[in-house]
Amino acid sequence: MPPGRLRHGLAAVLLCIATVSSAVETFAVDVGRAAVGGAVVHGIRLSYGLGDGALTVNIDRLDLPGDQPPVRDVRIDCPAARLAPDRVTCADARLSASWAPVGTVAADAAATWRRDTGTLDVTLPSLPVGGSGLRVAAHYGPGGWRVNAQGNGLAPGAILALAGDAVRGWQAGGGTVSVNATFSGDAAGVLRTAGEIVLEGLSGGSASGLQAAEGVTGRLSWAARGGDGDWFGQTEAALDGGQVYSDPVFVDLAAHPLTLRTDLTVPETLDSVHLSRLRVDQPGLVSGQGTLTWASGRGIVAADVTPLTLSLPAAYATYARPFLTGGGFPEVAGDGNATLRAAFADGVLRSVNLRLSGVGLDGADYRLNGLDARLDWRAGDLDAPAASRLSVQGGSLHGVPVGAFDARALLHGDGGRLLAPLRVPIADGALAVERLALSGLAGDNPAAALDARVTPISLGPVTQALGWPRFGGTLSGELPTLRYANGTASVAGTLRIEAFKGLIRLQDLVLSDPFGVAPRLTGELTAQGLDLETLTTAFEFGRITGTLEGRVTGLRLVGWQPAAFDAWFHTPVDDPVPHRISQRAIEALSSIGGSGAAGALSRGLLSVFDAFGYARLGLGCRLSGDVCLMRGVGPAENGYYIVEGASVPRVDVIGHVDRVSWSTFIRQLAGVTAGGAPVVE
Amino acid sequence: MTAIKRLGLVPLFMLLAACVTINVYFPAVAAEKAADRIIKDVWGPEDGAPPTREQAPEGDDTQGRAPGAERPLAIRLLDTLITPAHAQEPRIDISSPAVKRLTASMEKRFSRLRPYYESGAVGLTRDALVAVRDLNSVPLAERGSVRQLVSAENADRNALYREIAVANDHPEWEQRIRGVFAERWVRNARDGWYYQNDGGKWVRK
Repeated sequence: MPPGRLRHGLAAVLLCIATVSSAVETFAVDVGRAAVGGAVVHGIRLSYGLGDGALTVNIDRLDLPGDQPPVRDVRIDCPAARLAPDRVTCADARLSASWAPVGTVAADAAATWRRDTGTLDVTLPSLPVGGSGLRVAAHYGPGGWRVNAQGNGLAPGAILALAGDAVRGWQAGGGTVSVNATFSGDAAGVLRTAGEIVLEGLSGGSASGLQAAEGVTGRLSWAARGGDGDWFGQTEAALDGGQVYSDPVFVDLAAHPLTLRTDLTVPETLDSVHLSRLRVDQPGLVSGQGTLTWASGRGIVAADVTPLTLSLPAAYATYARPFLTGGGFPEVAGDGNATLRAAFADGVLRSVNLRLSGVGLDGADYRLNGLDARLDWRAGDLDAPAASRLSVQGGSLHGVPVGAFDARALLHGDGGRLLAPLRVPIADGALAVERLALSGLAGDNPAAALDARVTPISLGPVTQALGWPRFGGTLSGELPTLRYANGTASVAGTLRIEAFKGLIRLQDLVLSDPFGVAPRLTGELTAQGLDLETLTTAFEFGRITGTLEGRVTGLRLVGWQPAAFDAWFHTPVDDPVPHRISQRAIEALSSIGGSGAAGALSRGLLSVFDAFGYARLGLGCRLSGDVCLMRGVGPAENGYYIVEGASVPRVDVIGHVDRVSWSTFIRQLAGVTAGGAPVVE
Repeated sequence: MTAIKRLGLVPLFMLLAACVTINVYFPAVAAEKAADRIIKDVWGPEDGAPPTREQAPEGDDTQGRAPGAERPLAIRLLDTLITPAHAQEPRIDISSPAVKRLTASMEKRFSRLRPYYESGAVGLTRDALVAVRDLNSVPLAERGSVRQLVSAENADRNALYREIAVANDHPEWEQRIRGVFAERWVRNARDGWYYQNDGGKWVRK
């Protein structure tokens, strides 16, 4: 006989002996497969020792309802089962099982099966879960089944393990969780559930730290019933201690306790949740109601806000400001409130209705007070939105007072337009907007087109508000088309400034990146008929009579600081105004040229004269980098004339330095004198 | 004969081309010095000794130009003809208003970012930016503002590298300047701060 066949024969004999032996001492049943209350049990084997009364139940696998992983290798050892005619009792059983979320567990158990009622009661007084004991009581009978689990002071790590994939990678910190949950049903599955979870100082969060809780205290309760298809229920969450961060929002629950209450509907497929009569209350921040539908794999697919009342400014600071990154966004000041209604369907926002009352906005350079608004927006052109209205009681722009104004507009899709001309009072004038159209607001390149004009604004109060020397004149202009696109605003018209009895024109103005750290402004400037006496008096520059005209080309400001320009200012050839220049003005002009003539005239013979006649004056600067290339009205020996004298006594101001550091030049203009004195002839 | 004459022009063109090449070298050492000056402005003087790596004199660019003695005589002759402007010691201008403003903006932000550099919550990335390294070490109430600080700092840094390149009339230098800054930020970083090494791994200095 071949050795292989011999081994097979031996094995068959040994198996035979074992079977005979067990047939003598134990009673064994192999049930195979059974379904209990939605769960399916595979491979059940019972054996009962006829001599010692030891009962052993082995279950290979228990498939749970839903997506839960199966329970494996269940073994119940009952060393001394008591078999009575009407019942089987096992008071000191030992249960062990493996379940992926918690690993292998072993616990004491007690079970009673009653023949007369056909009921089975199993109790696990202390199932080791989360560093504490969970008391589980299960009842099974002809009327159905019920499982209740209660545990106090469980470690949150165990709860995270039970929650599965949704919180994969999350870490639990301190705190405890107490649970009291009941599930009941019949052979078809779970029919009812109710319970509550109490959180005490719960800490933990996602591995990235973008979702986190610290010391959270609260209570979550629910009650739901199912059966014929959908599940219906109510749930309430009340969080009243600790802090939570859900990027980028931080909420201090101790300061602003949050209560959420909702009715919910879950279809039999368990792949979506519809929240109806959703109610949010967070004193001092928000209160309101709405509905929400969430679908597995799609997130929030529909929501209605009907309505939400926001307490400002706290609600803005907590729930809106963290989302607004980059420059240009204002802070909300003053106690006001906002009422929001919104509809979100099929994954897109359909409409928004926002009412603001008594709100103040505080931007870096502007402030608006008493803002009331009723904004109505619709996604498509088919739904006609109501006219939106915005009224402001007043404010300021760079410190210049702005008066009350009222705007009416139509907002829809990704743009909007003004319904009526808008007049924004600025100081004693106004910005009158005839047309304003916004488009592409939802994309990366919002665009605005504006037709507006500035009605005369007195420069006196404006210059004072800006902290400049106060001077007269008015600012007015046409902004036939102002376009804003790709972060750049450009003016297609001419801005006119009537100042110093003359006219200054600003053209081809283009402002890029207005809300960035270094906004860039380019343009051209021309000046005509400026009265030098008014100008020099305003800037406390001594006194010069005459007319000034000039031009600045290639002007480029970066961060409101000049980066490049070519400027040339001079008296016109046939100036009808007499040309006189005071001693003080000569000294000031000399300082600008990088010299220190201060006192040179007043100390000498010429000190008897207050003022001198001059033929012409002019000063030019071509700025490149930090270097200003200076020029005057004409060449002089070793330099250029800034002031060319006339009559007797003749005083010339000659600049000898043609390359001046711009920062030095500005310092000198501000009155600091440095370097060698100019030649005074 | 004409062909031979034309052929004779070839070396001259080659010499001219060679001369142009010399002038478009990226002035790496000058860029390092410029970066160090900006970093010193932003971070302030180090609590201990200032960072030193000053073997080469100001403006000398040993990476950009080969030592004179090793170059052909003709090229050295052409150098002298085309000078002085092009053969001047290369400089990186960081005095433009945009660069100054960006530097000031970053300097102002540094006092708020500093505790996070020190705690390791924020680190220096290998692409010359900053990144949140360990948000879990930041108290919940500060997490949003740390992320906003990092985002604003990166917007400034990206603008800074671009503006330096633009101010020096070489917009195409932006990536080179970024590369120099990446190395200099780390070099100037205080002990204990975190930075990304070439492999992208966080390392504590």
